[in-house]
Amino acid sequence: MINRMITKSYKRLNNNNLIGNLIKPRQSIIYNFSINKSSNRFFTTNNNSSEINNTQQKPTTTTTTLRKDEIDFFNEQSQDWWNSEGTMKPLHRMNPFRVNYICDRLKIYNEKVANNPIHLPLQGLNVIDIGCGAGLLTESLSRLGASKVVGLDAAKNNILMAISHASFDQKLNENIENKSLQYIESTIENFSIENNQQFDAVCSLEVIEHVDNPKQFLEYLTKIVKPGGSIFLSTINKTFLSYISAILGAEYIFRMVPVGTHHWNQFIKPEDLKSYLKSNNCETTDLQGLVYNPLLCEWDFTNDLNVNYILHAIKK
Amino acid sequence: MFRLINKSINNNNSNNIIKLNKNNIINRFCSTTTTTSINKDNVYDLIIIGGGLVGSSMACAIGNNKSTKHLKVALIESSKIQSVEETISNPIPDIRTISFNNQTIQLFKSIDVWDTIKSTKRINPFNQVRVWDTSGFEGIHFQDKDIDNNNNNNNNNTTMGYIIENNIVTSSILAKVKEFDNIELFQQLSVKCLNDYDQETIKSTSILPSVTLSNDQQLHGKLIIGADGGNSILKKQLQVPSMGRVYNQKAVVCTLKLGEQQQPNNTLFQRFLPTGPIALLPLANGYANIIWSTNLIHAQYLLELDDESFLEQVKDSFLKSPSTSNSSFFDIASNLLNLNPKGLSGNEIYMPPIESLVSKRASFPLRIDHTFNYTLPRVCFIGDASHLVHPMAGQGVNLGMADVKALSEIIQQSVQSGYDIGDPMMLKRFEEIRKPENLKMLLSIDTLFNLFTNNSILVTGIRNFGMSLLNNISPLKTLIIGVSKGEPILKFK
Repeated sequence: MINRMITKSYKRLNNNNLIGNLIKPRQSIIYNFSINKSSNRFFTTNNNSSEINNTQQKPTTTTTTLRKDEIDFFNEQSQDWWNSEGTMKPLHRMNPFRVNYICDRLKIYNEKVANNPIHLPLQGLNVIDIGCGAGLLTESLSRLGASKVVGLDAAKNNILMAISHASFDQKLNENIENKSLQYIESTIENFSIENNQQFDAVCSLEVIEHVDNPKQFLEYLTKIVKPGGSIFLSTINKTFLSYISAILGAEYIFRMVPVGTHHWNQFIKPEDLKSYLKSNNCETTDLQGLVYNPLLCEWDFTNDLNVNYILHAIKK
Repeated sequence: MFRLINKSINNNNSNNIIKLNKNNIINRFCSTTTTTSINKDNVYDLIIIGGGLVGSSMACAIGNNKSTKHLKVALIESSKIQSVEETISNPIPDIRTISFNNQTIQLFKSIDVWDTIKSTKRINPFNQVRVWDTSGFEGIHFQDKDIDNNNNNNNNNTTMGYIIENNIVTSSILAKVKEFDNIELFQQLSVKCLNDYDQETIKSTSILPSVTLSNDQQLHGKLIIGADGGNSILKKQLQVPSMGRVYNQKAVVCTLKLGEQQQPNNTLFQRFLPTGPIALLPLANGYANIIWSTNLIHAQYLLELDDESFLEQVKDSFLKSPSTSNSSFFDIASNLLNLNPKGLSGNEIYMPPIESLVSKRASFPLRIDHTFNYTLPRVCFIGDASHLVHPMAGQGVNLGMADVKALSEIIQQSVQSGYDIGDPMMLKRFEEIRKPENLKMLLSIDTLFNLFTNNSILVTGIRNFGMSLLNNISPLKTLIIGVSKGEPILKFK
């Protein structure tokens, strides 16, 4: 699903040489963002990563410079992405489940969080969300008290949307101010150069099926995990059933997500994912299936890994 | 920039004119809004408007949960809060009584207030319900053993519910609420208005909605819960569209003292008269509550009668067949259709002896109402504020309590999954859970009302045939008892 947003901005980003070789466009959508040129002002771009400069572009609602209008414009876009009843509905509905999964697994595998208050289960952890999109998972992780959360995305518009949406929330605004929540526009291969073994937990949910070379992607991804840290991946299995449900069902019959969101040959079998992880010195500790009920719009955990699944691995 | 302005104008045009009117009305409501500074002291996670049964339970459910007890809650109640001792100091029960089903009792247990309620010794369990009408048919008899026959392993289900005075339960819950540090009680204060509430602003900025209290204090909240009943101020101000009708009926309520009985007073009686249902709810210590729903003129007549003649009327209404149905045509037809197989007049039903009237009579108008939206950005309605039913099935409060359970679970989920507690998706899920359940109950009660207040022979015939079927087919009856206890027929998971 994130693919849609990524491909939208792909062309432009490619011109700026900001995108790596991992994400390739699936469909060409004409992108009519006239504001792009000026949006560089928001970022202090360097070759590797463009980190948000808080003092300059903190999107508060009270600033009176031109930037406010720009932020407003992205606000509108981000509302579209954040419309929990729109085409992103299944993803929105999935989010609480995967957040709970991450918290539950971390509680078991990380001593640091064992004594945390119940409403701040991630206190003391450095967490990164790779392919954060407009920050659906990132916001949750930040609210759950993680001491540092990074939302990483290669698409500039996703990052802008994420920042503007986070500005709707006072708590997240504070987090951005004290740098415990950061949105960074970069690719994983660039980001991993400077952030070797930095994170207690790396999440990349519903992303890997949109990545061109998953093996290489995981190589970079595992690099930034601390030894003993956790890796969370979720994607769609490459089975007949996943073709029927995720492509025929969700895209063509129920029209829940736009046609072309997913490509069956990009889906990954859990065994392959496991072996890729193993070759990067990571042990898969848990695999859990997820099933969507399109009538009730509800996700649930299941033992069946045939369609959606989420995986937890530990770096040795 | 130009494009932006254009877009916003287009938005306004595409949304209909009603919205513009709404804004005007809101402004009229709150013409003297001043923007006061927001400091940490007047920002709350939850603002619960209404400290009645539903509102106080909501606060208690939040405070008593490990995951949500850190949330800062403001509970606003317009009347003075009584202590439990004060409420039980009067031996005569209050006229407002409620039958709580087992789900609600379960909720009371989970928020640790049931022991307090029980300790007042003013609770009365019921395990039988008798329903009959004026056609002389013996009616329907629900007994809890009907359930036990089928689920022998469920021996703890010994009652169908409890009948308890409203103020005893409310004061017990509020006593518990006072124990929580993060819940602030604002008593004897009402909400004047919601300040400058605009859905779009709330949705797309970090501005929180705020309410002004009657002492001009302003409170900001991440989520404002309207639990202020059928005449909700919040609902009125926000012009939430709703659907419903006025029954043109009033319920006359009073408390009676019953005479000496050999058996414990555990049966709920309800008779459908041509004018509407009359119910006798047994209370603890030999008291009972009467809820008599009838047309407006008759209600006025009943209120104006002296105590003696009113008591006569009550007794008659339970036992005598009304004189209006004595038409010869009705007799012939009922013989032909065999509507009255045992030739009963209705007198055969055992009623506890009524001794005296111990309270004043009061009345309230009856209507059914259901709002289309349970939630707006950072606003949520629970209980009677979003759905109002006829009291004949005693389900109004129980539906509200089910709302409390669902919403407190959703809030817990929001906290655990790192969501804002006013998150629109989470609130939408609350609506998705509760709306079908509430609508189902609303429609069933409205259908029952229509069925029982219709006096045509055909309807009476079908009704009694249906009731006798029901009474004799035990699985079906079990199902109905299950529903009346609040257990859903179908479960999707």
